[in-house]
Amino acid sequence: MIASSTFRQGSYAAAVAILLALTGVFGKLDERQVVTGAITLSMVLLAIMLCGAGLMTASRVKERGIVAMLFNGILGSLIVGAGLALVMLVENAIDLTFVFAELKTDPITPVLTFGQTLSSGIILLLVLSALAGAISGALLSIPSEARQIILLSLALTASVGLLEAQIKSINTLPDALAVVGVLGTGYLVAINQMQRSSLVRLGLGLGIGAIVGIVLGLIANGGGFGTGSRLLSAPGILSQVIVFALIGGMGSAVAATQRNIHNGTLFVVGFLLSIGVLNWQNSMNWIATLLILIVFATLFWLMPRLTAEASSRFETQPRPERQVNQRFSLLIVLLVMLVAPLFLGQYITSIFDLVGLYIIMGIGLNIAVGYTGLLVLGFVAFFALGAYTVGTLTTPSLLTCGGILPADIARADIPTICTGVMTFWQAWPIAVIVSMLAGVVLGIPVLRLRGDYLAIVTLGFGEIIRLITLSGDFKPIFGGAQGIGNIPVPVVDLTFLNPAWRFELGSAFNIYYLILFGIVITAFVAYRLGSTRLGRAWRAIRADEDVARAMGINLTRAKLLSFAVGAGFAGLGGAIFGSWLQGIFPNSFTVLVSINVLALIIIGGLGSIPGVMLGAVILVGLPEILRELQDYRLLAFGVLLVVVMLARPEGLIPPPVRRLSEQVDSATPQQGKA
Amino acid sequence: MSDPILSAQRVIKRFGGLTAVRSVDLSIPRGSIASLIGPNGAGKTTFFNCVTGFYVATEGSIKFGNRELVGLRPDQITNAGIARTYQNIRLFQGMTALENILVGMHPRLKSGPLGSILGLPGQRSEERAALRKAMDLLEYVGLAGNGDWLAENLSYGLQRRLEIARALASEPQLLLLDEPTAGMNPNETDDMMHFIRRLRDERNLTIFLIEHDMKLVMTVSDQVSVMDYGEKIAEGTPSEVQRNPRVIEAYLGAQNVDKTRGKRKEQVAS
Repeated sequence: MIASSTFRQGSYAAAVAILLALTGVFGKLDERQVVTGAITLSMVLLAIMLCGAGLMTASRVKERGIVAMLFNGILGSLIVGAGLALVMLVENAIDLTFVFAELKTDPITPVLTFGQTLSSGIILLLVLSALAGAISGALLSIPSEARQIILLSLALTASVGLLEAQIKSINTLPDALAVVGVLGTGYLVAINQMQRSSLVRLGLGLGIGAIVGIVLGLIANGGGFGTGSRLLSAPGILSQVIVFALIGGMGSAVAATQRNIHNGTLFVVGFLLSIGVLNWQNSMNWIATLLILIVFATLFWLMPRLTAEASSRFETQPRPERQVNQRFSLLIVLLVMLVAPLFLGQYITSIFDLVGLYIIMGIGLNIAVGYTGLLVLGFVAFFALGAYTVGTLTTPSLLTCGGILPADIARADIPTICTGVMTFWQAWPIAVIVSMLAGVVLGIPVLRLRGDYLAIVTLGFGEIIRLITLSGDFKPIFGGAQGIGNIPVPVVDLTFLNPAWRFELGSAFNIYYLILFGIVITAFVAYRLGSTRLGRAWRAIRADEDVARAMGINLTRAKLLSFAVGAGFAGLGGAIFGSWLQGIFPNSFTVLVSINVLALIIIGGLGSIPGVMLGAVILVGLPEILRELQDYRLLAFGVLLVVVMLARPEGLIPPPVRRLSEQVDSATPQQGKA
Repeated sequence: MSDPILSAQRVIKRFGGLTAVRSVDLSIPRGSIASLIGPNGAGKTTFFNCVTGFYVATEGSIKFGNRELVGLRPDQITNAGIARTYQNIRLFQGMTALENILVGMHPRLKSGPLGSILGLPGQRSEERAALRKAMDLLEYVGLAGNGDWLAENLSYGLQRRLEIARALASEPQLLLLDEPTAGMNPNETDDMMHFIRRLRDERNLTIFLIEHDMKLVMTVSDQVSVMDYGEKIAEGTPSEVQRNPRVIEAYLGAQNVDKTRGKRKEQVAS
């Protein structure tokens, strides 16, 4: 009945839980509410620990039937619960704070006893453990699809609850319902008109969206029921019509599209509805929690079915039709990204900015690691070079003041002005070129190195660049430990068109557009290079370097180009980073940045551009949001890497298999054998 | 035998104290099918590697037409017009059959990174033409319809054919096949035999192959060279080679076993 593995695995889980508890994690997370006034983040963590142990132990006895699973699941969770109870007993008996200092401010007992006395709290904890174990056992006995739906919708509901304050005001429930309604109408119309061409379907979607937009606008403005709604009380009916027409068009485009875009759209729909519910209830109370849970559960239940249908509809279309769909979808995604900051608010936008910088770097590193298979561990060096180049060129410095220190100019009263100071727009191409050259300079000596050796050398290179910027010898140029301050923000000066059009890209809102532009450019260049002759050479080198060489590929040239292009992207990211923060310091460019970028492309999917984007959102965006977890960031990365490598070794969004044979059909007819 | 396409003179390849190829002279007539046979470990693949630039011959010269190959990089040798396949199939994993062929075309394509990024008309039409040519090659080797399969998902026989298509993509004059029928059943071997003939006849190629299947070697070859312990011990038409006593000795063992063993120990020691 009881498997011996249950005790072993339960003890492992208990050990992990006890260690984490001793770091004060429960106290730290208790501040953060997931369901207002009821469930805190520490409760969620406790549930994860207990259910995790239950799932682990129950899965070992899966073939022995449901009773064994329930029994062993309960036992596994109870071991963890007992372990945590033991820690509380010890904490109350002897003073642990001299070793575990965190427990001074964040003791375990008040959290895990749920505000009860110690003895009744422990009993409650054990009962809850048994319950969690039973739930785990039951979860394992239902079909895996249902299990996934439950777990994913719980996770997403929890994340909505966590972000309550930041996302509450993004959209209202009428907004969400209107968007989903129009999107769905476009979708349904397109499904029923599949025999028509995709352009006709798009037109139908656009038209229906526009009509619904007019109607909704009239209702909302006439009945005054759109108050507080962003979309429905928009200034003027024309903008409403345009917005809803585009949404309707998107609906019809999504009806036959690839998996990624379809899944992405469904996620957006889910979040729009959840935020709408949250906005309507005005807090994450039980009603909101339950409704959001239902929204996500429905979504995940529908997702595999709808997506499979949509992608099979997509596959059966001829190529030109598909391209119309794809391009329209891309256009909409871009438009949504353009207006997104207006809705997301300052805080989320600034997180997007940071995520965006990492996306630019990730796309660059992806060229070296994902395409060419060159493991570069010092990628931050190129980021730093870009930032420092812009820093030195746009501020008064030894370089820009004709070899005289700016400080000396004032003191010696030399009638010189720093004529060499550039604007951001003049400096960034130089930053990119400097980074590319550095890529080549690093590339030449390491061309012959492979794998581990290359990783070590590039790791060293990253540190060398950081130490140079830190060193006293280069202080007149790089500013030593103080770095470079007062870097001017990029200014877009369109006053010749309209006197009011002078934009300083200093705020999170304005720099967002520069970063978005950077992402579009780098993604485009990476995509084009990746799918043509040079990209094939890179991927061939990654697959088998010797054979690639025997195929006539010049390894030196291909590898150096790979280094240079990747480094150039990082340089662009660095240039934007420096002028956004208006100051740069050597300590912003530690090896941790390199590790972060590498981890995000591995988790996202090596060689895949959408993968880089998703990886950046997960690895950079989530830690920014879960500020309480900052101390546990690396631990979480480690866990995430292991989980992803076990569950999806190719990453979350693996690179697509390029179906080239279809491109031949659409090309000009064959002109005999070559 | 006028105008050899490949002529090797006194090629020696040493790895430290071990001499894998010892003073091999060999020439291959243009337009012929030449075979290189010999027991395992005779140095056949090492000789191939010297020709294709994977190894640099320690001494001697290998001329392709009038061009000296010793000292050139593998990519330069491929550019010069020699392509090869491998004993253990080495396709580019994670790339489709078509992409594998397109990589083979690499030296014949011109477009650079800038043209690719901007999608210039020249680059686009070159890509289209290359793709069309790759489709033709795919059909030629009997892989029509498998273009979008990942190379590693193809069956063994098809992988061999894809490897040949990839080699053909670089438009070689001389094709080196390293055990093209390894691991094939008699039917597949027969197909491969006809295919090799077709290659020579239809594509104007010279073919130089390493092979263990004697039926195939003796049927298709115009010239057979035999290596044993790094040395070329015989050369000639299939029937000449079959009668050669040294070849029989190498394959079946000498009557005077002790003498041969002694000789071999000597060779290893040197």
